[in-house]
Amino acid sequence: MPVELLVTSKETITNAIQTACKRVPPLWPLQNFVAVNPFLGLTGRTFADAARLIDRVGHGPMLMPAGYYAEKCSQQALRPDQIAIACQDYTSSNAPADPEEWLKAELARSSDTTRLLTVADWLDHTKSTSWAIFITDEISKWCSSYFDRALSYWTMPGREATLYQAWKQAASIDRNPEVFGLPDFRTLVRALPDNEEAAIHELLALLGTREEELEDFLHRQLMSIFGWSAWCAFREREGAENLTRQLLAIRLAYDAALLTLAEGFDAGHGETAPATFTTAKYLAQLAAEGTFRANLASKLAHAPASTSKATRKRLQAVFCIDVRSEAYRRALEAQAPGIETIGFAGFFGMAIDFQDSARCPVLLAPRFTVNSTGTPASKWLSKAWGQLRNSASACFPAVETGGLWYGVSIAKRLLGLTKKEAATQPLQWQIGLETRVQLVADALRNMSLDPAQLASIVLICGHGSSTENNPYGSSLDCGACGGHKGDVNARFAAALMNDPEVRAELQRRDICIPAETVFVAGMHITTTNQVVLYDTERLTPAQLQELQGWLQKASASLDDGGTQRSRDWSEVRPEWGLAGNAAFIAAPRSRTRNLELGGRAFLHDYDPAADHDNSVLTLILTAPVVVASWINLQYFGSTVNNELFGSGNKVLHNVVGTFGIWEGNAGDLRTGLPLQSLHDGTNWVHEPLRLQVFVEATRDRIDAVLEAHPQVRELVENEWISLISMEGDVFHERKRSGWRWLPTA
Amino acid sequence: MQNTAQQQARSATAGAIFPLLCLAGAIAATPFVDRLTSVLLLLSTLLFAVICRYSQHYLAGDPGQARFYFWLCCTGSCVFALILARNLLFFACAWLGTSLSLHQLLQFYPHRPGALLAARKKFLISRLGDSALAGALFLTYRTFGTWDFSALFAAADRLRDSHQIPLDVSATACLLVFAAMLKSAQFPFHSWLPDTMETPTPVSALMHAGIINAGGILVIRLSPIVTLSPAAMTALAAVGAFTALFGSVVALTQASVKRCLAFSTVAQMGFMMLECGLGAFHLALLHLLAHSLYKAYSFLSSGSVVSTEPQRNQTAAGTLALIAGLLPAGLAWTAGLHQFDQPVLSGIFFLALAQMLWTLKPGLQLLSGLAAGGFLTAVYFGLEKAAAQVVQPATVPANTVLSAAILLLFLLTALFQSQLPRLRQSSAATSFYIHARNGFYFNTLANRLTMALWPAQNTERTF
Repeated sequence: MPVELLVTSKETITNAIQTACKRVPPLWPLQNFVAVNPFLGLTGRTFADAARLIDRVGHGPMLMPAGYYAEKCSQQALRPDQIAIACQDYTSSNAPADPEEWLKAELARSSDTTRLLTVADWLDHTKSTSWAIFITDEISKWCSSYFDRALSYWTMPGREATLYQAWKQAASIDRNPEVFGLPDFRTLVRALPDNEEAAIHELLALLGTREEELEDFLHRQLMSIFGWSAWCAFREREGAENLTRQLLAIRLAYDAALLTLAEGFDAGHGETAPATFTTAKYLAQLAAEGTFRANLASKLAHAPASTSKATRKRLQAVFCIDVRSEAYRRALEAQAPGIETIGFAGFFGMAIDFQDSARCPVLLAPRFTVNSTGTPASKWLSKAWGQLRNSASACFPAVETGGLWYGVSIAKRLLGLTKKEAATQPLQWQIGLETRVQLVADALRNMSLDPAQLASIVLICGHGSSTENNPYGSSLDCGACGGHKGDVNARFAAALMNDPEVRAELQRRDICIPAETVFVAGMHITTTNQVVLYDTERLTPAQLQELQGWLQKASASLDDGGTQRSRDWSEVRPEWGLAGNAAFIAAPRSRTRNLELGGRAFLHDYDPAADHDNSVLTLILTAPVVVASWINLQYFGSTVNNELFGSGNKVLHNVVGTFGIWEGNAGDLRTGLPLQSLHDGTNWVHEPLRLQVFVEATRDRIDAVLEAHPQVRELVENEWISLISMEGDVFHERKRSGWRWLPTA
Repeated sequence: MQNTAQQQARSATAGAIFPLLCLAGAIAATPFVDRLTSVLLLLSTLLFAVICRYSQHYLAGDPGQARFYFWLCCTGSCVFALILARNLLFFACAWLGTSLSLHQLLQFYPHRPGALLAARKKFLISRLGDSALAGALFLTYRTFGTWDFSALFAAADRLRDSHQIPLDVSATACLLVFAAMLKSAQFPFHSWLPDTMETPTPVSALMHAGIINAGGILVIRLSPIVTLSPAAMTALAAVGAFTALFGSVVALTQASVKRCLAFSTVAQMGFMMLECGLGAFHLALLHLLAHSLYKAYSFLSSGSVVSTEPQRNQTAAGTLALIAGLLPAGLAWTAGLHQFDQPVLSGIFFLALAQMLWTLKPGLQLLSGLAAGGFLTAVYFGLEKAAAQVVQPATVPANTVLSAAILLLFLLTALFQSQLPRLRQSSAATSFYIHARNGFYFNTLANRLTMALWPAQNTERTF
């Protein structure tokens, strides 16, 4: 090992550690599985650069296989003009005469890339061992015990210390690596410093990594245990310190121990493999997005005029921007003239904390506490039974005495009798009048609701899913409510808006809500497409009946057997969630009202004329658009590389520590979405397209927001989302170089 | 969609052949029908129906669903044949068939290295068990000249009365017990069971609720022969008791739901074997039935564990509470309320009651707890009586040392668990935890051995 490689300065190493750790996105627990952009730490580079990096350190693709795109070419799903544009944009060369044929030929070609290897990777490749799997399993074993929330009765000793210290204590006793054939591992661990950063410095000196490779080498180490790294990143968001760095130190220790078996290993010397990122594939991806964008643009530019203006408003219903609302809104609007629907983030501007969980987008912090007044039933007897069942010596007679009863449980599940609708508990909060008034005023303005023009019934409708025996249930709930169901936020918002005190104060500030207007809360159950109403006592019986009639008819028109699926404990595809999402449209509803968007678009109401100071536009571009892009890129990542950014096959899922998933016996913690949420067994249900954001605003106004918010500009300029300005039927697309006219013919 | 429908139709047809064949075979051979057969048949029919129904939606869209149903039905048919068998040869064939069809289910996803390794490990251990059964077959025929169960049992009864047990018979009993131990994942041959999570959840349910019981069925069915050998019975009790406590201590440390359940199965099978070893075949049957339903449900609903509430800090229970909890047992004993035919098993039951009571607060909770305890006692002994109607318990000469040792081990385990929160700072407990978390390294050892005996090809997935 050449000596000059070891003299990398301490500062360089410290910086490299930080950089590598920052490249890892957080992973939310299954209890509130918020969608995360799996490339969150990479948005500072262009999509193409990130894809090349992931190829190098993640050993996997960020695009679909070439065959997928070739098939699209054959099906003529890519418009030739879009292939030509992509070609010009990306390669600065003119398009060939027959773009489709040319692209198909190009897709067949392969190129090479260099994959960065850990010592374990290197050994596996050169000596056909299975060290990489073994190390992942070992780390997964200790991480699962360290982070376990409720599964193991006998919890890991030393959990009070940091992850690294707890692991160090365990690993200096654990004989498993040595039993498997890793010599002297305990000795190596015992000799490590107690501080993880010092340990990393020491281990890197052993591994002899080149300075210019350092960041990527460390990133490779983290990618080899991507799931746990992401979990550490999440815990850091929650306040834990330097967890990812500690995990890095742990991973390096195993690699350093393997050096004794790896004569000839050279850190930073990669292995040549076929590249998963090729120009042709990227061109095909760009062309697919271009085709979608152009088609949607022409639809939006020539939408049939809305005719509902003249009629009196009978119902206004505010729904979440979620793509699943789109179909329901159309169905509801079809029930009667005078029904108007509005799209807004499903927390309705109410950043609340309910029973110790944040019911707001993860980009915000909860500001108010809401509680339910119901007292939870005492469960001491069932707890005592659980204690028996989990006892090492009492579990045997317990099973003999109570085991037969599970026959009844099985029968209930088979018959779908397990669904119990929880009784609605009254909510309570203590918030000063001034704050409540401000909340309502802001919410009305941001929802583009004109107080004077309110209908007599305004439905505030959140959403939530309803599934059985589904660890990924919360991934189907409302992202804007932090991965929870949206009922509490909707009920809270409606209650504030009905509050006579609040209304009186609003009147004093010239915000006059008509006296007859009643706000009512609801929840759209996305699995069954039913809407549940809450706190309806302010409605007259006639109003309630009429409202329920509309909702039921709308639900019936969308019914596809969801009720059955929502009760089936063996159902792996209870609903398609946000699969198919590809567009975000911020515009007045009149722009989209007569369009069938196929449940692929987030719809946010926005009226530029009422947004005098650009504040609503700023809010939309910095919050809902970012959240939507997280969702969109989660679906994208899980589809293009389910192995790395998805959570694999549901039938093998094994819940870990109650918060995460292993696929099978062990292995890494899985991130992202399961295959069954994206694929129907024959075809992909989700088409991986980056989010196309259409905004009803002038280019200047949009540019002003981008200027003030570099993180959004970065998303646009680095091609993580596309941003399109709509001015009448003139559309422009924001490229890195500036605005470009988007034909809408 | 049509493709899937066709596949399902094909799988249904293919699957139907085997139960039919099995049924035909069983009818041709006039099935061995007694109460045990009826109860087991009822259980396995129910489980099989549940698992088939479950897999219909669970595996919907999986390209291998037809293959899955094919092998599921093969496995199920072999289980039925095993229950209905009227002679040892037929029984052994069904035994082998179960294992071979299960092997196909275990490597349902052959691209997964973990699945292959686990399937191979199980394959090797099963063949070892099969050789033991083959040996027993050979010896049985040499001694009794028949494989017919009724004839065998009659001969065994005659032997018992004569008090002259030939060496061959003892050897047969020991071989049967050995085969049963391997089939029911007894220590130290248990390590294949917790590693079989690389196969769809319904297969886990089938294995943990159904196939794993085959060892118990063998011992209960052939109890007239097994009881002839005191050595075999003692081995059953000792290995069973050790496996029970070993499995449940390891299960305490597991942090994933399926591995927790798997080690719990190892433990529960151990307890079933212990009951067999003590001659309590009726309780072993009760255990088999109750555990099957419990485990099938637990596996099939394992996705629901996400909604579990985070557990509260455990508090150490006082030794006093334990003693107080044992009082009802002592009282019942002295009052002669119940004749304890099985002092060890009854002791373990009352120990469990004591454990339930010690978590309760004094006052109304404790009172209700005591009432619940009384109810549970009635249920337990009621079920015991009912089970005795199906299978006769055997009278085994009391082995006081063994009984005392087993009771003491259970008591120590209960005490140890109750003191866990206090032991958190002790370095000995820490080391013990770490070894237990690794299942005392038996998995890794068995994996290495398997890899050496049956090396895997490079199965790395290419993108």
